[in-house]
Amino acid sequence: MIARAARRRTATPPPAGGGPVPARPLPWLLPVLLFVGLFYLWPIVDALRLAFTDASLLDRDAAFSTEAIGAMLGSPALGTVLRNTAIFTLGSVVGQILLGLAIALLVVRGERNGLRGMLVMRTLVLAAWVIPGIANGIIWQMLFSEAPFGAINSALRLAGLPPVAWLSDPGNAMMSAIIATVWQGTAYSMILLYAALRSIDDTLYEAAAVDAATPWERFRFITLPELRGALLVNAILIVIMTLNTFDVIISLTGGGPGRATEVLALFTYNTVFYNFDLAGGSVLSILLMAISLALAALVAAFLPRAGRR
Amino acid sequence: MADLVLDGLTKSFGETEVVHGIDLSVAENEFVVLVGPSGCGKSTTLRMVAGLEAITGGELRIGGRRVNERSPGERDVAMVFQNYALYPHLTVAQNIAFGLRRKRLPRAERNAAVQEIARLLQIEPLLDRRPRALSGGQRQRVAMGRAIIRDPQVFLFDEPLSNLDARLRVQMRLEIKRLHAAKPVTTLYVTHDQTEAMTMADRVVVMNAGRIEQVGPPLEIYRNPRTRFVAEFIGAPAVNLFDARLSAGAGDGLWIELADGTRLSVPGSRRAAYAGFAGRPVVFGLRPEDISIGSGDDPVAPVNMIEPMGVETLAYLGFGGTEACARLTGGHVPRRGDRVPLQLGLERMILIDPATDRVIGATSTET
Ligand SMILES: Nc1ncnc2c1ncn2[C@@H]1O[C@H](COP(=O)(O)OP(=O)(O)OP(=O)(O)O)[C@@H](O)[C@H]1O
Ligand SMILES: [Mg+2]
Repeated sequence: MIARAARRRTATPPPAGGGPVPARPLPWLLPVLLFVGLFYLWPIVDALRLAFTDASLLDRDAAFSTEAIGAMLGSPALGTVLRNTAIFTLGSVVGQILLGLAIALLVVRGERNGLRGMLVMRTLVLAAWVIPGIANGIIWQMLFSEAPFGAINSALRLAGLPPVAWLSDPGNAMMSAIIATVWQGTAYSMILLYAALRSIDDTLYEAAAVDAATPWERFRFITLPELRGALLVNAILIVIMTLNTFDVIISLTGGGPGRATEVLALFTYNTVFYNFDLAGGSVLSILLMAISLALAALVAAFLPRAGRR
Repeated sequence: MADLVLDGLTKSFGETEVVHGIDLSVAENEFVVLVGPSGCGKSTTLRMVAGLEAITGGELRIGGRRVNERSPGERDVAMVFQNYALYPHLTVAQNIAFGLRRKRLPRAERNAAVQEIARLLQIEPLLDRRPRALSGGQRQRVAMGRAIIRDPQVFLFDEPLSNLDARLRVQMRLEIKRLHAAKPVTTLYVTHDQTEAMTMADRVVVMNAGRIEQVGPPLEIYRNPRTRFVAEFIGAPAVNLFDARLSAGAGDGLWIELADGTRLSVPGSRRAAYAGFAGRPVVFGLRPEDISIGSGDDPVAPVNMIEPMGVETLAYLGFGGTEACARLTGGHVPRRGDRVPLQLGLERMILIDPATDRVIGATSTET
């Protein structure tokens, strides 16, 4: 009896991924659907609804209107904001990936050669990442400060260089915001790429060493191709994270001078919480989401090739 | 082509020394196999030759030149790794051609070289594939192709066959040997498989715990092991060893007394070498093929177990106070439970001094 049951069980293996599928899956899925619906889908749907109203933060009894959409998409500020967002995102993402990769390569290389202090190095870089964005903005505001005590300008003065108007010059402010963001976000890329680097088979490098490969050839023929997948995943994640960044900027420059560092996320925030324009903010947040999705989809389009290799 | 000399090579990882002075010279185009149990330092030694591990002490010479301080790429050696270490995103052809980068050959010439290697290794249809789409044996060939095409001074192998199944291993073993015959290169080959060592080597180097136990041609090592370790390590099934006692008989007669009281007469040719050990405990060794079925007045032993292998049969016999393995060929095959008379090929016996674990009277061979 038992033997027969056992035989039957082995004869028809359960579908991959666990036990048999229940006849009516809905009751089982309901908790998850409720959770996802309540906490993720509902806010999006609500934003979409609000976008088609004239709601303000002070008066939530809103009537249907497409005025907000027209006003926001036609807003003269939007062009500047989108341009800022593009520059900020591109600069931050490229900076984070390059710097993260460089540090990860250094750490892995140091570990391979038995150098001490690599754990400390990793921890230090990671420490920047756990600092809240607001605090990070304040820290960099002090560093960039153009008052006599400003750390970076003091250092420049010691080196006999003229001070730089890091935050007050509209031309420099964006660069400063990018530096602050890169400084904080690099740890994320570093850890991700570090893990990927560590998983590369050491004997590949040994084979390359015996084959007299130069450091550049080792990077070009082994490291880079092996990192491809991790780089793409990393890029998607930090593109989205950076697009949504406003905490660093709000505490560092507040979006200024003028609109020089006002990115879409901050513009949205300001629309809602300074202008009390809930409908306009909803329009902008939908726009932000659309841009995030589009960029993510664009990067993700490269992923399958990385998986297939 | 060049010869390879390891002159007192040592290796320490931190405080612990794991290779304690390896002296070995590999002649031009010779095929030398380093064999030994896991962890004895074979790979470490090979990697010092390749330049992948720094040499702690001693000198390494390739073609008469000291290369201790040279990087792997400057030593002009090629290495085949146990896990093949093919570049995953390059095609087979690109993998093989990788070693040619430095030569700056025109494209046509390089392709011709790759084609020739592919023909030699019978992997022509695979040239456009990625390593991941190859079987273990095919990857092995590509790895060899990548090494051969460089035409290096020295060829290094680190257990290249141990990831293959038994049948493929036998086949590749033959092919490597054939390749070496066709394109001789100075070769150092590491394995823990004594069969591979015996079948492939011009000379076998038996290593144990970071030291060389013995160096010699395979049959020499097999027939005249110098230590108990070598006697036991080389040969499958392993040599039979019996605790025994050597006693002097009438005249210049010498007897081996086994634990179960069996007395065997030492052949005349060995008496001089063994005489000094009369009255002492010894370990008596006999290879399985030196035990066969005898007749009439030979000592009788019960058959405990039979393993038919096809052309030969392994019989496990209760003998000498322990169990002995006999390798029987042809003719009459006993059955389990039979009692059979044993004929012992005592001219090929070995005798080990248990105090030193050295084989008594072993003719010293070169290093
Ligand atoms: N990087 C290392 N650090 C410390 N000890 C090491 C290192 N590499 C090897 N060893 C030690 O050196 C000894 C020899 O190792 P080795 O890899 O040379 O053995 P092996 O003969 O190749 O064994 P196997 O047949 O298992 O490959 C082992 O005791 C091993 O633990
Ligand atoms: Mg090894």
